[in-house]
Amino acid sequence: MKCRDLEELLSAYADGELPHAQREFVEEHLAGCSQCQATLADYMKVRQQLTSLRVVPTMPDIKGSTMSKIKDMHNRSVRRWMRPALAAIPVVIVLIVLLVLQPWGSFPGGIMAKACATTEGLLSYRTSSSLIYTHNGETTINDSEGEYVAPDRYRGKFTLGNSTFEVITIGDKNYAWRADNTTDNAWSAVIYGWPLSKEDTRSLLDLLTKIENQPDERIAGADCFHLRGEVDMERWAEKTKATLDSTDPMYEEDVEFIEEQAAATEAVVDVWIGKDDYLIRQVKHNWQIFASDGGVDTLSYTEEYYDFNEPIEIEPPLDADGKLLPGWQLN
Amino acid sequence: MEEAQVIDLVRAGEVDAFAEIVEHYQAPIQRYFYRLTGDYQMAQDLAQDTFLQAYKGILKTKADLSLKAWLYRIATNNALQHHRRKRRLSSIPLDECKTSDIPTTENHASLVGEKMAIQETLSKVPEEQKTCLVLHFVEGFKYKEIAEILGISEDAVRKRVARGKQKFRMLYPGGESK
Repeated sequence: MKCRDLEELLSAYADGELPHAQREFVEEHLAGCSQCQATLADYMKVRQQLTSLRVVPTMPDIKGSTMSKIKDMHNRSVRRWMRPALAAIPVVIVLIVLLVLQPWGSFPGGIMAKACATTEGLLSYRTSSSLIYTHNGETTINDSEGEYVAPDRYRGKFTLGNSTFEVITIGDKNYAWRADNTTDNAWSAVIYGWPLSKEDTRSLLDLLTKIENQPDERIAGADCFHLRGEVDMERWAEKTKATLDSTDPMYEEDVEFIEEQAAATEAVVDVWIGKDDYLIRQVKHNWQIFASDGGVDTLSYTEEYYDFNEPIEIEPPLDADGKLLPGWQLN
Repeated sequence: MEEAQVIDLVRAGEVDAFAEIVEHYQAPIQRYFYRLTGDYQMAQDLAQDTFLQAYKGILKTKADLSLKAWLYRIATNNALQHHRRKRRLSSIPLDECKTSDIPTTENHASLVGEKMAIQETLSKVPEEQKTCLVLHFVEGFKYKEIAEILGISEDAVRKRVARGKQKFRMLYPGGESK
């Protein structure tokens, strides 16, 4: 073997990376070869030079700024996914939007007009919802109860895993309360997910496509029309991207995330409307997110509406002096 | 806390748990980038990107992770992408060693000469070889670990290290000219 052919072995020998047998072979050769001894000396010098780079200038602490970006990214992705899930959509808005859009051509328009007229006059109602989310094979069940009083008062109580929190919205004021054990994850969902604006609601319903009549069903003792539509994920992606700030440092990441999720998601929304009173009784979302490793995450969200026009009071969480009650904050 | 526990917490939605990972690896990852790019500010930016990607990756994967090797794999990919982008965007010779902005005494007289020469020479070594040199000599990884990080064979690592050293010898001021 020529000395030149040994260079790779000599290099590994200098690094202490040769197995025993090869090491002995190299040492035997070295004993009688001055050229290879010189090469080895060169390698040892390179080693000494490069290891001197282990000493580096003090690096800045980037933990705070990194975690801030990560939390921001996390909150936005949670918000994005929890929005449809936490869509405690006021029925009045739902029906107004449905009437305006009339997305189902063959569905009798008269029914929608009646439904709209009926629900527009609603003074109050309660909602109850359940969210079942399966991610990486693990299932989380989240429940919420909500109340609405015309024209702009909402109260929601949420249970996500072991976390509980409440939100009260009166006009443009959002009050929130969290239990001590509420996780940041759940908290983000509330802060960003509640309440949906009229624009959000319109936007969500505007995404429905292929709306079809399903066989009538009874919901909570009431015979209901049943409608089903698919969410157009391409349009969802376009609309969601349009809401992003292109100067945000995470803009490209967000766009990529949205496109990935849109391509991987199928979503269906069902709506049930009372045949006698034309009130929306139930809305159900079913999302399937197909992961690249072959797994499927699912999100099923059902919201029921009841106690129409029952007396409900929603007041801000303030004491007699107008100060926030303990644990509450104004967002 | 064990790394596996931290990863479980992050997967369960506890974002703050990830701070422990950033705390532990921020210095070595920044140092790694600094030695690969020679750019102090770029090292910070790339390290931050690496942690963001790692966070997202942890949520997407189910597998048990060898966190250290995995972080270095993400970091290496980022460094290579940065290098390609820089080469694409600029026909000007690479600005190999921006040490002037380093807030340290390292810039000072006695150390500047040889260390700058070493860093500058290293910056001229082809990327794949340079990556192996830095992982081995600066970060202290064994060939086998480097193979795992880069997803190549141990033999390939041995070749790249040897060729990288030869190139370094050739390029170092006063080195051989073969």
